Amino acid sequence: MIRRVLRRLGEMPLWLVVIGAASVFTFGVYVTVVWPAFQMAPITPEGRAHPYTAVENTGRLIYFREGCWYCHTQQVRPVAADRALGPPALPGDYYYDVPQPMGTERTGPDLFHVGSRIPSYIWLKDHLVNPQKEVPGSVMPSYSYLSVGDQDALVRYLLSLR
Amino acid sequence: MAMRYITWSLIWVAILMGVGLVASAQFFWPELWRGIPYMSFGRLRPVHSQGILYGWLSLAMIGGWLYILPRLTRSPLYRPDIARRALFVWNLALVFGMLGVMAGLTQGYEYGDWLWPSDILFVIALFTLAYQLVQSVRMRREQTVYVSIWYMLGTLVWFSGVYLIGNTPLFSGMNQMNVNWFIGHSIVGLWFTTGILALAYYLFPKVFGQPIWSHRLSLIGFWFIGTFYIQNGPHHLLFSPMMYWLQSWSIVASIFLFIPVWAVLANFWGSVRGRWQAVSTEPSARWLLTGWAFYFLTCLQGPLQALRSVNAYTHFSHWVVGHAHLALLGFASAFLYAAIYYIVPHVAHRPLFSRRLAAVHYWLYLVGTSFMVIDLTAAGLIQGAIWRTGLPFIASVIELQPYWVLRSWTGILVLAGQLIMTYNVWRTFHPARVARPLGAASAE
Ligand code: HEC
Repeated sequence: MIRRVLRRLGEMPLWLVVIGAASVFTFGVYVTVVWPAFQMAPITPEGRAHPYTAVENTGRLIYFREGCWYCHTQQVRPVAADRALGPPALPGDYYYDVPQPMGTERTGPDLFHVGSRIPSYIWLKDHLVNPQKEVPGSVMPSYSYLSVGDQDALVRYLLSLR
Repeated sequence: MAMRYITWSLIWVAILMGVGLVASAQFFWPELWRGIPYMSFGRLRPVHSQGILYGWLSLAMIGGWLYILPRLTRSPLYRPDIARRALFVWNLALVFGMLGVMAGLTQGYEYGDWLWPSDILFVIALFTLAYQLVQSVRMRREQTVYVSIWYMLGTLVWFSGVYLIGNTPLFSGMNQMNVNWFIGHSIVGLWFTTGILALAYYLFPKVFGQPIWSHRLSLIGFWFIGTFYIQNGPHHLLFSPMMYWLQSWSIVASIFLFIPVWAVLANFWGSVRGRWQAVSTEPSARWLLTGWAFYFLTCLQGPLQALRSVNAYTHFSHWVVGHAHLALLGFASAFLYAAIYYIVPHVAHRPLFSRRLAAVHYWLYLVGTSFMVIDLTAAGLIQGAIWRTGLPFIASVIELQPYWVLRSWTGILVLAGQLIMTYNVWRTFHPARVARPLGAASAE
């Protein structure tokens, strides 16, 4: 029986292979993209989510433009390593975020609740301009090249992450 | 036509490995590019990561397809001018994408970092190429269809879907993260893996002079990869607020991948068995064996780190960076080097310029890549350990200093090997010292 199925498989005409490939693909997309999208449709803002002010939003876009998110995550998980980082992320936390800021690597610390951990505007701004001075041993690049307005917006965005 | 793609891939890979090296210096020399926005780490990283995917791996792989396809179909390529134009558009997309992110134009989306004009150019190039390749298959003279053609057609179907869905700007929040990893994982799984396996299924029998072990096994592999790779994406989101069932299911789908991987490995082993002498006669043989080993390791590590208990420890750490280099610099690049070292003498109708240089490249690459992966994996384990202790975060940064320095050294080895290879290929086409541009003399 299995042998027969396998022989048939090998004799498939190419057009059937293409249709088959497209079918298993569509099935996979349905299970892992479409169905979850429906399930996530009713998500509403919760946790730290709040509509960004104009300045915060400018700062948020700078956060992406400068690629801060390649070194910083914004995602607290319910695991031992994240215990000191505040309450774990909820789906609604990201309600206002396009692009999403979750990140994939922690060369630097998680910034999900950085606004409550470091509520100081002055420290955040000084650190942005000269990280090595504020935290010896840091490898974060200096963002002294940003305009004063950009630095202000970025820090206000960070402060809004609470 | 194959050589044009390969030439461009060799140009891009040297530049982009250089970019990776420069970016890695950030980690022990943060002052290096102080005050220069274009060279800041957050802008260079997507040049390196996306660039390697689309500039090096994709172009070399398509070059390989364009070489094997006429031989498998026993008929010339359908309208070679399409491939030439597609290459132009592809390069345009690359240049725009890279200069764009350096200037601060980004989609803020890992593995989809470059701005939309470059997406559109890629789609145009991809679809016209797909049309050309499908037409070439349809006009084949050889009636027996070898499994490489299955893999190539499957790859074109899958990746077109992946690219279009993955770059759709319709999603936000959690949903976007899900789609992000749908494309992030599938670029590797359903573009590079399946596309490069198409080449490997051609090269193993040719280089080792023995057919693959079982045609049926290769077909089983094909259907399992197609069905389960696409469902792996959410395993990048373990412990996130994503639905728990989806995380769990993606773990199951990751484990399922053991089946096609071992089918592929066993099959290739069938060609190698008893034919080890090829290693001393054919430069690409050792690359095939190395690619085999790296594929094995990548696909052992992948499902392992998709387990919740392991993931809680390794996620967000440099372990992940190590895995990415094991897969793309290890498995994918080794097979592509095998393809290039095989194709170049055949197209040039001359033996390779220097076998000794090819061997030097091989050892530089092998030592560089192995130590890079070991180094990053160890660094990741250290980060994971420190984060659990509750020490201040900076402890994990300071602890990693020696690992970052070593990482850059391994990068220098890999880049040096790459430059040697480029020289070797160039001299194969230009044995006497004639000053002509690299692509010009290639026998199309
Ligand atoms: C090369 C990786 C890297 C990049 C890129 C980077 N950072 Fe950092 N960041 C770090 C490291 C490492 C630390 C920890 C040491 C320190 O505090 O300086 C850090 C720390 C921080 C902190 C302090 C957090 C805390 O809890 O102590 C903030 C805030 C911050 N970064 C914001 C940013 C912003 C905003 C950007 C983008 C403009 C950015 N970072 C880009 C590596 C990076």
